[in-house]
Amino acid sequence: MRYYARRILGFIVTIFLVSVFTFAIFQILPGDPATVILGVDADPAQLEALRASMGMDKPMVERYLDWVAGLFQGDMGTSYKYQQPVAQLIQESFKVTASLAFVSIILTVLIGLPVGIWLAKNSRKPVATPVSMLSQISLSIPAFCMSIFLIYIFCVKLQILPSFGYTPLNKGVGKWLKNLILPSMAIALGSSAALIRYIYTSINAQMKEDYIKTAKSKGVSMTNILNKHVLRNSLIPVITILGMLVSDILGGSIIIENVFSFPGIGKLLSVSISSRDFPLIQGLVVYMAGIVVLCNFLVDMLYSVIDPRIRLK
Amino acid sequence: MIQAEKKKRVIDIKNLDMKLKIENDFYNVINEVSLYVEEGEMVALVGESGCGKSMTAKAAIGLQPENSVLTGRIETDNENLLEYSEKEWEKRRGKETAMIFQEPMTALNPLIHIGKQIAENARTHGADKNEAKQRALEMMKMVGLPDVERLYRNFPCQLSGGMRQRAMIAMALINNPELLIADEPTTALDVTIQAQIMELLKEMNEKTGTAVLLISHDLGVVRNMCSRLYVMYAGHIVESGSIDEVFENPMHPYTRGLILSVPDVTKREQELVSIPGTVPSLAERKQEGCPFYDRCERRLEVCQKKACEMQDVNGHMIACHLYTGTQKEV
Repeated sequence: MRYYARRILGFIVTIFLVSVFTFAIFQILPGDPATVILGVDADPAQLEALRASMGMDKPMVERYLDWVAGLFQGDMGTSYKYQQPVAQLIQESFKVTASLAFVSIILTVLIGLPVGIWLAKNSRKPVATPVSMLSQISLSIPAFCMSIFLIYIFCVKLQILPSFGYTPLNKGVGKWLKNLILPSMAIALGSSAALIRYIYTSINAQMKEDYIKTAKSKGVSMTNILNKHVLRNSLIPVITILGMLVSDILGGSIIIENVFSFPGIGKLLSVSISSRDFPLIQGLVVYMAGIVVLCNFLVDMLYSVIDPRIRLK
Repeated sequence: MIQAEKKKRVIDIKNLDMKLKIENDFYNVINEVSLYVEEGEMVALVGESGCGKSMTAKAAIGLQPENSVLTGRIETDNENLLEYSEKEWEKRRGKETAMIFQEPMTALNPLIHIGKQIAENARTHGADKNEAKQRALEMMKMVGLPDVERLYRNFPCQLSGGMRQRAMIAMALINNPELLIADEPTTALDVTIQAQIMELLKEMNEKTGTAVLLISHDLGVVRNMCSRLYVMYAGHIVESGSIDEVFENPMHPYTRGLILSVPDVTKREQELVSIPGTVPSLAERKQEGCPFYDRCERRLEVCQKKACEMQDVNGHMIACHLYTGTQKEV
């Protein structure tokens, strides 16, 4: 129980520190949002009025507290560019990015887990070499190259999948999936290659543990040793990498979302930065930090489910 | 006089050689080792660290390193175990031959309930789920684990080192094997627990009739436990015989050194004795002469050139030129 309490406390403290840091960064950054909105030639009186309406004339601590109070009510301010609440913009983009994350993680696990285990089992056979080379190659190809390659095959040559755009889930699972397959593949091919290497290394490390010797001395066959003893033990590092992957994708894959014109977090982030939309950027940074911290928290929780040594401490 | 019925040897190692292949070179780990264990008997294999005891034990249960080459014979039931396939070994391990290890802290799978790991040995050799569980619970009681129903569902991290070693013993003996190989089973434990575990091994040996090959570097422990003793040095057996004979009349200079270096609590202010030097590493081992030559205080001229064969001297076996009678000390 103390383990969980400590984790939750850590979770809260991290979020607080991130909010302070984020706020501070945007106070230090040069550039005046009022000038951004009204242009450099704007009337000084108008600028002053706008600043006052945005609360920019108040002292920093007060503005921070206002902002945090807003966060608690789900109010992250209003985007300069879209003239819409930041929270609403993030929420909508999140649905897109979450769909992308969901499908690509499933693909990653579906490809990575069996191949990684197979590779660990058969690492000494000659067939392992091409598989391990292939995973090495897909790991080293940047995601945008992979995207273009996939678009070329499935959209240009075969013409079976759309090359851009996003259809919400409520318009039908088939349509939703059709748009998601290619960008998810582009992410999953690289990340499953990483997963394969992690599983492979992890299984090999576990095979050197003492408890394997014990299992062998009981006459347990190699297959059973792998299935009943090694797999669960080697899952622990694998969960770490999956957690990082999820938070990575949920944080918005700027390149993938741009290549496939996905209205997700990554797209929103690139637009907000190029238009100096401070409230939006600020909101996105808090969102991303929250995602990372939340994923780490969930990974910690999963560890404790799998490993009694953590749970029972 | 009626001659006692000849007892079955549960393992009979004959002239076993083990070479390890390391980067295209072969190193001798075990040389011409012969030892046997009769049914129900407790036999000790002693020597310093790195002298090949554990390798001998591993070979006896078919778990030698993959880069090793074995020659000689390991016999039991008129079969040569060196010719066993992996499948045949799997049937034998845990059933006829069982093993427990030095490190009870890491020898159990951290993620699986203790009881299930014990029952797994019965399951692997044909028992169904319920039977395996019942037998595991029985064994757990037998090795002195408390509150077995609850403990069955505990994880290794909830048990102390001593309890884990008890669990290991329960696991090893669940199929009532002919032979238990105990590879330094108490080295990693507290002194007070050591005695308890040794006591338990002895007790289990008497109750179940399982023969024990006890590998140890602790002569004090061995003396109270075993009936016969093999002394191993740098891959060679240098002396063997009944415990009483070897302890009362140790002949090989190495055995003498080992026995002298056991501290005696009854003698205060006694100086601690040790054998000068250390066991040579694999690369340093000589190809000719007595393996103990460099550290021997009573070496002879002949020892440098020629190792002595095992021979019967005064009722126990010894490989030392000192007792061939004709040689002069250097």
